[in-house]
Amino acid sequence: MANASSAPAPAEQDLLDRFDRDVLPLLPSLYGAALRMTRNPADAEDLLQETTLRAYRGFASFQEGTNLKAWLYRILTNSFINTYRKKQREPKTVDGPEDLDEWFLYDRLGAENVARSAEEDVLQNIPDADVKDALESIPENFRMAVLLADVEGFSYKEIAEITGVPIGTVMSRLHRGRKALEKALYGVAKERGLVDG
Amino acid sequence: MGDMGCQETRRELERYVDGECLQALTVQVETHLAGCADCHDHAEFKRHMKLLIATKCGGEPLPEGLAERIRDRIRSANP
Repeated sequence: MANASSAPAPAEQDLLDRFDRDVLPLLPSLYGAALRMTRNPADAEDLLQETTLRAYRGFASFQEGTNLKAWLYRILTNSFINTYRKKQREPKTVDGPEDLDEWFLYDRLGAENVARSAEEDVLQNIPDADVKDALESIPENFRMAVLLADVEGFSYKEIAEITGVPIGTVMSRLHRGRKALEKALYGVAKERGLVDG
Repeated sequence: MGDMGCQETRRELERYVDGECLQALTVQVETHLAGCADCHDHAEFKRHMKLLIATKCGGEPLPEGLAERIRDRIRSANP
């Protein structure tokens, strides 16, 4: 076992260099996802530490040129499920979206006499923290799907690989997650006085 | 392939806005949207929602020193 002060072997140095070059630039987006998953900065940092350590240990066998970002998100997701979810206290979540109309928020905004052209303004006027809270309030499987699709820009196929479920399940989680999110956002917009009612 | 009606188009809008429709279906959806203001509004709404999440839930700054702590931890761990 090498002691901490000795220089790394050339192969290991090469791995460290690749890690710095390829993985470090992705840390901010990984941290953002970790924060949405764990819902607090201390756990998000622990999760990111664990994820990067696992990634480094698997990095030697990772094929350059394949989808590094998706691979890292898969490790992040698995680490979260295996370690952090156990100790997470589920917050009070919004009701399941099953009871929602298909176009819940669209219809509400229309009913509140918000001109279609002003709809984007109403949505954009909701403070960032409230949108994050709304996302964090929806059930975990839905939240992960929405996060991976809309914040991280992954395709359905990539999300299926990251979360280990079939594409049909990804689509269903996305759909239900977005509906739940619409319901949560409408509550916020009403509280903020951005819509009447 | 016949023209798509409103109901059929609405069912595909989520996948369409996610960029997950095959080209033939994309063309059909876009043909319908070009001639139907109501479905066009519904598609725009979906786009706005997606943009809202993207712009408001991303871009967290990395905490001070975290990148260094990660580099240190990896260097002190043998792979």
